[in-house]
Amino acid sequence: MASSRNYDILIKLLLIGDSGVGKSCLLLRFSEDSFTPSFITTIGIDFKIRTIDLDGKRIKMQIWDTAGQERFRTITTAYYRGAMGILLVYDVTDEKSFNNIRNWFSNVEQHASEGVNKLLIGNKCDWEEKRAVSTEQGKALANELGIPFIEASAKANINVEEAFVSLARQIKQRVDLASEPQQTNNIDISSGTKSAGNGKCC
Amino acid sequence: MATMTTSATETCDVLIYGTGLIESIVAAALAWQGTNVLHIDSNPYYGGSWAALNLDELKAWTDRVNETATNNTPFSDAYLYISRNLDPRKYAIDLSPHILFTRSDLLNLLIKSRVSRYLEFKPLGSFHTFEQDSFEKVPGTKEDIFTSQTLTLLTKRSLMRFMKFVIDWEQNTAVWQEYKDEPISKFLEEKFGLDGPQIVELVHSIGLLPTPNAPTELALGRITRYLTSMHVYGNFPAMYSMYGTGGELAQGFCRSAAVAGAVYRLGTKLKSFDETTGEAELDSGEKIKVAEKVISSEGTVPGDEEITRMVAVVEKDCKEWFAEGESAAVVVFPVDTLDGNRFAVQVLVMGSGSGQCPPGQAIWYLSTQDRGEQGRKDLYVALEKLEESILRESTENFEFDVNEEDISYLPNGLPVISSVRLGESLRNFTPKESLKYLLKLTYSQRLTVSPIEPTAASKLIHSVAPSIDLAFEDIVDQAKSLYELVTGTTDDFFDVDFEDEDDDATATAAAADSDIRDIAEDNDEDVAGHHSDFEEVAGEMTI
Repeated sequence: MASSRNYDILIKLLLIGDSGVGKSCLLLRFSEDSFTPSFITTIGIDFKIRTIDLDGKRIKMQIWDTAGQERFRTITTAYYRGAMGILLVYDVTDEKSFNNIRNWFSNVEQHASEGVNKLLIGNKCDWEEKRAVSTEQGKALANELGIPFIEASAKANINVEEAFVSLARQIKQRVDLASEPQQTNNIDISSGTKSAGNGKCC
Repeated sequence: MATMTTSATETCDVLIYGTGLIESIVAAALAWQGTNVLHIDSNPYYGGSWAALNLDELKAWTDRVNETATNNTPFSDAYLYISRNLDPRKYAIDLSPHILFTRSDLLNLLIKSRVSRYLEFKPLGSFHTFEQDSFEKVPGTKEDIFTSQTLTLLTKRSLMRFMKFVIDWEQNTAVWQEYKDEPISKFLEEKFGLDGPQIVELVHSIGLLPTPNAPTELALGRITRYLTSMHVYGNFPAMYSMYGTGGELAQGFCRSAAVAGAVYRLGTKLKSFDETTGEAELDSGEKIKVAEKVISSEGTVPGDEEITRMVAVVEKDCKEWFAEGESAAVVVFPVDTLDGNRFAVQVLVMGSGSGQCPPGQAIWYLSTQDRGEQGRKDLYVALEKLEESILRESTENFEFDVNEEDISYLPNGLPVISSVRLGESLRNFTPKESLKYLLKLTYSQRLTVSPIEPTAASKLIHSVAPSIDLAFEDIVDQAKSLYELVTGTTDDFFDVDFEDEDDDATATAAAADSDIRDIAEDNDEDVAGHHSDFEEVAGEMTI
């Protein structure tokens, strides 16, 4: 079935980190440029889409939220599958969320595919008076894990765009380098055809 | 984490204990309807009896089964061998593997609920029947029947006549009514003049039925399930989700439920539930105030169905058995092909493309409805046959003696070796290499049922364990009846107006509707004059 795609590259990104660090807020800020200050546990966000232009290519970003399943560590393994980039988020005013990044990182190593791009984000960086984790600590952890680092604020709209776009850029570079797209032979059950291989014949 | 500190008494409308497929569908349906759902599982993983486990989890599961098995538990008699030096995380061993027919209510629900977006599906087009020591590919379409080299003209005509009838058999009650509870083999023989191999294929490989004595009404439904599923997405009637079948679907529905607000806890036991106060206690000591009902997969009693299973991981990719571009196959050993087996042995072969094992390996899932020693014996004989078959089919420089009389000539002068002779040689072929088994597991699985018929007044409702059919069957109906016990209706079952995050998804969903209708119309033209059956199916899609 020939469909006109409105993008060149589709990338799947995930947000991960403790409850309350602002994953959904980062997502809503980036995808809709909105911010809701009140604390509500994530309900109703499955994923959000935003398409950006990067070096002349249309990059469609599909960004998935945890659906609250981080709360009791019950994230489904399927959540990690097929992810090309992962944003590990902690709250700079909450040391525990920072210490838990190592656990989330090892979960990612366990369940996500190899070579997935990662980014460490210290959220709520506008809230200086409550800060419990210094920028240096964040940098040191990122170095230890071997991943890039950025501090951001969904509320004050600081570095949110930069965080998502820089991750998209890294993924694009990796995808560009990879020789050819993999033939997966998966069935696209909502369009009624296989994505590759035999077409339908009736 | 502020949210980790739970107050002394948490509340929910419905507490669901067990994350098997049916419970997970119910959880999602209730959550989207607005019910406040707490969904817990005693295991540290999702899926319960439907789960696909890595090797570490599988070892722990085996121990647990053998320590705790009673007549009321779904599993018993587990024996596990695992060879050394396997990476436990590279495997997903499916405890109750199921295939998904492309035209089924479960698939419709996966699309409608958008849970299909969380999953990757692969085609399954190879269905083989074991006949006279070789695997015959099942002719599942009219084209296959037309082009078949082995069927006589008379048989072809009988088969075509049957195919035309069966496509809307439910309307043609006059043809089968008197055979309703009679064996399907009798019906096929007397009404359509079919015999031996054709009956075997229709019953065992297309219908996936355990014996040719299956009642005609049930059997016709099962045969139609396969035939109407051909060409919905391509040249295959079935598919499966990667990394595990029912367990992955269950996880998908659980995520969907979570998106709608359901709360998840794994590794959490339901210690007690007081029906009068509505208070549930978890093994952590937490008390949960349940406003409506508890749905529990535990506390069930054995039903009258049981299945004996074997799982073997082999060091062969088994691609010889797969259709091009595919990574799975079904092989059926009909009744009486294995040293007097009373029930068919069904084998689901999963290659590495299924995401269940590393490249160069395959998983064989064998099962029979015969029980205990007899069941295990049948499975071992089938295993031997599979081993012989894959070794000779994958041996490249395979030599055998050919005499002049083995060769016949086609009308165009090309010599061919008589297939009878080829079969003989294969039978006597002793492979030089042997097959390496990396894992072997046998166990029994019982279909468990509710101890009492639940009513709308019951505070505690029991759900049931997986069906023992190789394909998902009755899942949606069972989920709906649980849903109805809670809400009093099934009218709003997944009646969800999804917020549209993704325009593409909506567009393709609409396309899928029209696609399936197109196919239905095509088929209708094929069997001129019969409409209603397909319109019904297409109608379900548009809800």
